[in-house]
Amino acid sequence: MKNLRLILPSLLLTGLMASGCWLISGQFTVSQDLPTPLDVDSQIVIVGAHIDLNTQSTYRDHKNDLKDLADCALLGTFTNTGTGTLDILVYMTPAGSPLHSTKVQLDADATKIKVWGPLTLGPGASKKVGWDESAGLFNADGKQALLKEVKGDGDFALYAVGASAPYKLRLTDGVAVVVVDAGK
Amino acid sequence: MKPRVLAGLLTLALVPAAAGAASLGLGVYGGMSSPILNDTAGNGPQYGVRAPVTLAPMLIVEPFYAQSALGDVDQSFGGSSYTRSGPDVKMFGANAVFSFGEGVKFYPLVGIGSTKITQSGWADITDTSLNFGLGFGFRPMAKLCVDVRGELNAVVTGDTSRKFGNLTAGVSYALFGSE
Repeated sequence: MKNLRLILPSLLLTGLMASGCWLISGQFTVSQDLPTPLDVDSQIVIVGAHIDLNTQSTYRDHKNDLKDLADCALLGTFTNTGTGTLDILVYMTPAGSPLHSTKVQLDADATKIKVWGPLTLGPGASKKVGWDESAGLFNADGKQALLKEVKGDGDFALYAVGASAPYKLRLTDGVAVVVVDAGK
Repeated sequence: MKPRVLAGLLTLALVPAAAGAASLGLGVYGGMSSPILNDTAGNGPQYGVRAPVTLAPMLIVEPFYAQSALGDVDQSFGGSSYTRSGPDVKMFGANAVFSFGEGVKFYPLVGIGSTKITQSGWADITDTSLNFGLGFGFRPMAKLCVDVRGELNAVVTGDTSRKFGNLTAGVSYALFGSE
């Protein structure tokens, strides 16, 4: 029994030391405002949002210790300014700039990855997308791609588009939010 | 080895120990759980059950189950306030409690378990968790023990962890023997 009193804490201590410094870690919010309003018309112009997380001090503070994503969301008020029902999708391109300005350019970009959506809105409908809902609209591949960018140069672009053209949409007070999981 | 399997095996390993134990009790506890360095969760209530098995005068092994409903987090972005629903946390495992003193007992504890964290819109996290804590307890009646504890619960998620500080009060009753 005396041995057990030594063995249990020793085993835990050994496990603790063997598993690295996971104890010195945390989940920190990094956000960047998007251009507002962000108006997209598939027949005229699409507007990308250049995200440079390096402009955010929380990201810079933890950039060398990033391990994972703890959460992410794309917040703001989406409006279907077109005349048909719209499924809104968000694509990410690893290159933050130059931004694509037409649907043709974005369609031709082989590096784009669908990260979010669909958010369905009827003609003229508007919706403020909350954090819980938005986190759930990210797909698994999108989270992986976002993680790669967050752990990489932190510089990428997001494009809100319709699933099928023609479409018109507006995003107001948009914010990209990532919660980074950082540990020494 | 999967965390649940590990914690299950540990719990099963305690069964023969319980058979030869000086006492076996059953307790309930509740209190507050606070996430540490975690922007996606707020404070919330925690409650649970535990079965203290006294193996020796100074050593108690304690299988437990606990769950917490962590609070929502409000953050302001782009001039608007947004709410992130707090996660639910469920854990089971076993603590080793090292009891010292007469009358009011003082006891450090360490433990291992499996924890599942569920948060709306995000994949569940199920991983091994470790507990470290300190408690004080006294016995108002022969078979009854009342205690207050502070614990650090760390869920190891690869190279990082989700950490919670828990402050709980509990009561346990010795089903046989005297704790």
